[in-house]
Amino acid sequence: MKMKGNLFSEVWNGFKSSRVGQIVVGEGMPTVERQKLALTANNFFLHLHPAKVHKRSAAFMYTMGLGGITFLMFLVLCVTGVLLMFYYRPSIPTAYHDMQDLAFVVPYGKILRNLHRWSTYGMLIFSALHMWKVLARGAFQKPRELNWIIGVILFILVIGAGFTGYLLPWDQLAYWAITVGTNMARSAPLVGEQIRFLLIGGNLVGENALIRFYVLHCVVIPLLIGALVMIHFWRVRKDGFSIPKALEHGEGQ
Amino acid sequence: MKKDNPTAEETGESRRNFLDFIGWTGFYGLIAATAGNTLRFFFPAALEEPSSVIKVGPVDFLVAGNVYLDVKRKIILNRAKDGSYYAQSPVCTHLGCLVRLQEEKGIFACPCHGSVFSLDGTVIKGPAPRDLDRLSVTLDFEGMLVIDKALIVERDYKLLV
Repeated sequence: MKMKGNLFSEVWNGFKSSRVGQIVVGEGMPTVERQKLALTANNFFLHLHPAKVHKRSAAFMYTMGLGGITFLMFLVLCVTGVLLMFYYRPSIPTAYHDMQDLAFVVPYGKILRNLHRWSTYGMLIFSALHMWKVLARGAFQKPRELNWIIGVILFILVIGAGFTGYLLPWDQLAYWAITVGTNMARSAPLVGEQIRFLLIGGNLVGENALIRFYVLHCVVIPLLIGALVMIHFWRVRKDGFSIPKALEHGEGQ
Repeated sequence: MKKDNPTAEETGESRRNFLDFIGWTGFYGLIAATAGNTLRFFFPAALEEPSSVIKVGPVDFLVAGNVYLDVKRKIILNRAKDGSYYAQSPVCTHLGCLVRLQEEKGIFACPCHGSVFSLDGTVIKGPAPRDLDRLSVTLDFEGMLVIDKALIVERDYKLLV
């Protein structure tokens, strides 16, 4: 606006005054201090944290950013997973071969596969640490019980995603790990046998099991995790961070 | 005092109540039926799994006192000292791995969690909770030894030849 004759600003101003520009940019940036604060505080992406956080809770050592790291791992897993899906075909004649291709033939395939693998370990480790930190800080107590429950479900889903992904390379380790793992389901009372039959779609780990685990791994579990993570974050913003117990009644700080 | 033909106001029932009941019963019934069939969808009705019946070989397949393990077809065939045959499943009774034959020690060992069985299938070392399953072994009309993996038999079952 200031620099008249600047091509960029002219194009930008033209875009802003068009109908599309009005929809995308809106009214433009706020000029009043209070509105500027509100913009940041109310925007989910600009401000994942609650609008108000106690000084002691905002310190890095209070959360160590463990939940955030877990979410970062999830994002890495989504991106690398989608890229792996371009080459991997979930059937008995092709699965192992495609995995070998990814490791030795596809450009960058090895690094993608290993990123996916290590991020899985990272996500498991950091979600466990995150859980421990929340437990140690007493942040699971009222009024944050709902988020604790959602977190436990998320942890189970993360383990489920790891387990279902374990079968996909279709090598000896995968085959026997899933044979052993699904045999454990047998020891569930009354419905144990049916649960195993349902999980692997038969009596043996075979084609049905592979396609079932693939669908669970690539579609069902990531969608469930995504939906629950959204609620998880929303509750963090609504409920705010927990405060160290000693400070809750105005002692100390 | 009961009347033979009470009106709707008197009984508190009406045609509307009745239609409500029918409508909602039908609606929830449909939901329940759909949910039931969706669950059924996940149980395959036909399976393409290998046959449980395995033809091993002729009557003199093994010398008395020997044991034969086929990991691919998941069978163990023993021939006792008296010449009788019995068959076992090499699927470990702990969590379903296949046991391996260690001939020099005369044992079956499971590679997954370290269970050890003697050659007749008795548990020597856990975590396996019970002995290896004994399978049905018969002679067919051509005089061939046939094992049916789907038929688990008692431990004293023997094929005398």
